[in-house]
Amino acid sequence: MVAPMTALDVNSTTREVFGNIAPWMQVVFFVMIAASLAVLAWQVLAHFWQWRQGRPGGFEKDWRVWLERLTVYGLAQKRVHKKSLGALLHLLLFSGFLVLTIGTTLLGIAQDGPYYFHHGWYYLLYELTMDVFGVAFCLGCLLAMYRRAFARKPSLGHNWRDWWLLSSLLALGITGFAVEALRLHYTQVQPWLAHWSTVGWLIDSTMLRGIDLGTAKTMHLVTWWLHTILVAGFLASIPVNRFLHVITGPINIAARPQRPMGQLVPLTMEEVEQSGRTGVHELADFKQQQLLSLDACMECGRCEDACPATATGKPLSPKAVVVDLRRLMSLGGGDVHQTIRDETLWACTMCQACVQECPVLIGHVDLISDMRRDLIGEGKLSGPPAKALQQIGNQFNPYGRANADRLAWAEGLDVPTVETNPNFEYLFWVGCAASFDPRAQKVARATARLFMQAGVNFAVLGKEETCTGDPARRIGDEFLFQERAQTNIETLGRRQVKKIVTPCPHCHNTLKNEYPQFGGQYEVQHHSTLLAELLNSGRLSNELGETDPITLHDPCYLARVNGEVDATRAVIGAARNEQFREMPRCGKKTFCCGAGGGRMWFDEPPSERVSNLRAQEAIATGARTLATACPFCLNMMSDGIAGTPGGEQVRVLDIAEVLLDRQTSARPK
Amino acid sequence: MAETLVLIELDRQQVKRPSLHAITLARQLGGAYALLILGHGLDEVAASLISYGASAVIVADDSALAEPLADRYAAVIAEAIRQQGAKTLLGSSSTFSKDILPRVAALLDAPMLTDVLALEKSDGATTYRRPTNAGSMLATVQLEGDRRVLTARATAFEAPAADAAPCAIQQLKFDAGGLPNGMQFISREERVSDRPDLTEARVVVSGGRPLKDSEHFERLVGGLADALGGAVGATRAAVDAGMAPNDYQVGQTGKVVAPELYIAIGISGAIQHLAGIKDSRIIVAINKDPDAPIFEMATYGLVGDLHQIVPQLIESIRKG
Repeated sequence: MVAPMTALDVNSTTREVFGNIAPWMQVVFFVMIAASLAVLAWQVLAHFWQWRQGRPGGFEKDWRVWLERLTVYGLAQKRVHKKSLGALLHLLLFSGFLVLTIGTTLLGIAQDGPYYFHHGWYYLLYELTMDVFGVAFCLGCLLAMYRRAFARKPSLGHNWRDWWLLSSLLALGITGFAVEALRLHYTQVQPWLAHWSTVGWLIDSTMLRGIDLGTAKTMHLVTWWLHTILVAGFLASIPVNRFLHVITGPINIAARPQRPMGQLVPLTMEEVEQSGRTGVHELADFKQQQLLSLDACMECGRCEDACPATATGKPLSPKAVVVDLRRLMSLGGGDVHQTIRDETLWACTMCQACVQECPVLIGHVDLISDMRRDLIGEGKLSGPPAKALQQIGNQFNPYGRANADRLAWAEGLDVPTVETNPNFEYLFWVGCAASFDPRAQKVARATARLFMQAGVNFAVLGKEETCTGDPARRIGDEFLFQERAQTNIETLGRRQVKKIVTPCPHCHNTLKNEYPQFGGQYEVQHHSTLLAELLNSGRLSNELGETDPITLHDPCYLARVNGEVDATRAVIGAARNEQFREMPRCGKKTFCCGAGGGRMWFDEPPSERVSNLRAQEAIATGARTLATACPFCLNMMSDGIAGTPGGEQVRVLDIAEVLLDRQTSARPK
Repeated sequence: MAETLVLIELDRQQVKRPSLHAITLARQLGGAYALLILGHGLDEVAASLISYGASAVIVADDSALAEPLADRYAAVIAEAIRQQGAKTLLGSSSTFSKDILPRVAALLDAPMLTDVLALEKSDGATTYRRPTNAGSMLATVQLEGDRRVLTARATAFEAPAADAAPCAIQQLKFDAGGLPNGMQFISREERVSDRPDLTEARVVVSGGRPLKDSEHFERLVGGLADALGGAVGATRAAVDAGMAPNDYQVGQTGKVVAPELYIAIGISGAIQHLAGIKDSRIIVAINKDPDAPIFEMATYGLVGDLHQIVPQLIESIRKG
């Protein structure tokens, strides 16, 4: 029987808060909560002191960036969302925990504050909201338990503390509802009011039937204390389990410095003279923000799932790097190379997939890059990659070819140079690969022919062009990179270059994102975007003609790192081509070819070659043409395709070659 | 008693000549040095080493040492150093040393320095020079502690003269039964080849993935190489596929060759392979794909099926 509600009725509705709790118990309660918060604060402070051992700084200083990131990655959880059980249960736990924490705090404010607002419609909605999110929270716990028990994802990692955490969280939720139900029971709340506390009411009307008021009151007191002890224990134990990320995660999300994904931090001579080191040798050589970021990790394993090195069985997991460094930090610091093996650091392709995945914005690649710099400083690199560095230094290209031969690819093409066409609009930056690798030379030729067909006013630097220094910087030879950068910036300045177009995503990234660090500001385009513009404006024929099934391998440094995924597709006519097939990992979520981070020059047994994995993925689409837009991807994928069953039928081409084929075949014979 | 022990490498009762060059480094170090050999049936070898100015030739002769197994060799060498009270163990830079000497260094808890090129002495301190960063730089290194393990690059030190008064031959006493036996010798495989060395040959014939298997590889690539008196090389793909042994690999990883004539059979011409052949004088490419990048690099190119072309080539060379 539901009594009719009047405005007066609703306004006067409220509930008791400490009705069943004697004043001395309330004192004990407050002391307990204060003590557990103190323990929590003390432990967080201890972490804070660990971060302080790092080199000062590295923090983002703009508070507007903090707010934006806390909204996007904190509240809206942008990086967490995806179609997975883990993402769903995190949403339930996150929203449940957030709402319950805020709700309980509001109750405390209402109770002890000067103005009692905990009544009326506010109160009714409060009860309902708390119940809904309480259910979400418990459901999240149960799903997390299910996931740990049955869908044991290896990259997540499992130990007893996770069970302890989940059990205490679930117990918190359940005792919370029990306290509610028992309170409804012994205070004999009217049904229409009790309905708003839905879960408590359901428990009361089913399980607590026939229990007398005295017993209910005692049970309430016991359950209330149990709930309180659980809360206090949970708060105090946050820093010793995965839950620490609710504190450190948001701090790192706000504090991580804002810069393009493809930009590494420059090292200055002054820093080296001061510290006597190039890079990170001791844990304390990291910046404070980097040390803080280690504590933000809750070991979800998303970085590891995305890592091409992990996928091919190399001794690298980005998660393990973070966790191992964190352990070193908790032990007081020391030599990072005692914890992280050299092979682990060299295994990274710097594809940034881990960085893109991390929900709390940890910069794995920066950590690895800093430690690589130290290995280079100590002379720990040998073999072909060391030789590539040496050749960048001596011959200005990693292949050790005479730089005077830079125009060999253009033989017979009559390509304009900065000498013959000083009033060029676009500088065509060819890059070392397209200058010297005979396979990639064909890409340079195709690109130049398309530019000439479309009447682009361009010129090449010829032997004045030298390696951008990208491989040197990724491998860790920062000063070799800076030497190249300075020379090239001088050359580009002397030739009054404003716009650059290049077929190499690595040159593109370095010219666009890293040269500004040294005063080189240009409008840099990858050839895909210029070719797409030329198609769009009708300067190149956009006839599709008949094509074989085709798929596209997005280069990491174009798609993931610089966000360009549409132009490449436009160039190969993907949107209009029924024969176009996407690979499962595509666009910004592409999968590395294995050549990045200097890996181009490392030797790997076939089982560890990322290109073989990727080749299988490409062949599985049924495509006869695998298009890509990077000379290194082209090299790696050609090898991967040739060595993979089913690959005999597949051609690996640059998008410019695909487009040029179309131009010639579309022309009347 | 000797300050320095020089480990001389043997290949079944034969001295490996380059390992003698370490004696020159021992002389530069100063102080008395003894030579150490390990193996079985060593009387003759020991006698051939008495004139190198050593204080003694120390011989560890036992059937257990017939094959160079790292664990027991390391134990015996460490024992010899302890008995002699030697401060320095000298070996030469070789796979033998790479296999065994790190274990010795670990057993002695001594620092180890490989590829020593030169040493300098000043103010009583000894510093060593060794290559670093793939040979692009030289590191000058000082070692701590009173014992050390060094390997010398044979090419950096002259061969020592054998003109000193003969020294004594001592048998090393050690407990052969108590040696570690974690490794067992199973068999030895050697490629007997009268083909010239890959890096020194005037003609190199290399094969790639399309050769399909080791039989075709040997018949076509090996056959053409033999007809021309050349050496055999292979691409990484051919080595990965098991068509050719590892030490045939030419390229970025593998050997760098610069012959007068390089014949590339079924090689597409990835930059990694070209890195190993770019200084060849004449490059001939045989490939069925006219667009193969190798043709950009080749002096002469032949487009066609290697399974038809190569046998014809071999036959006409043999006839001619």
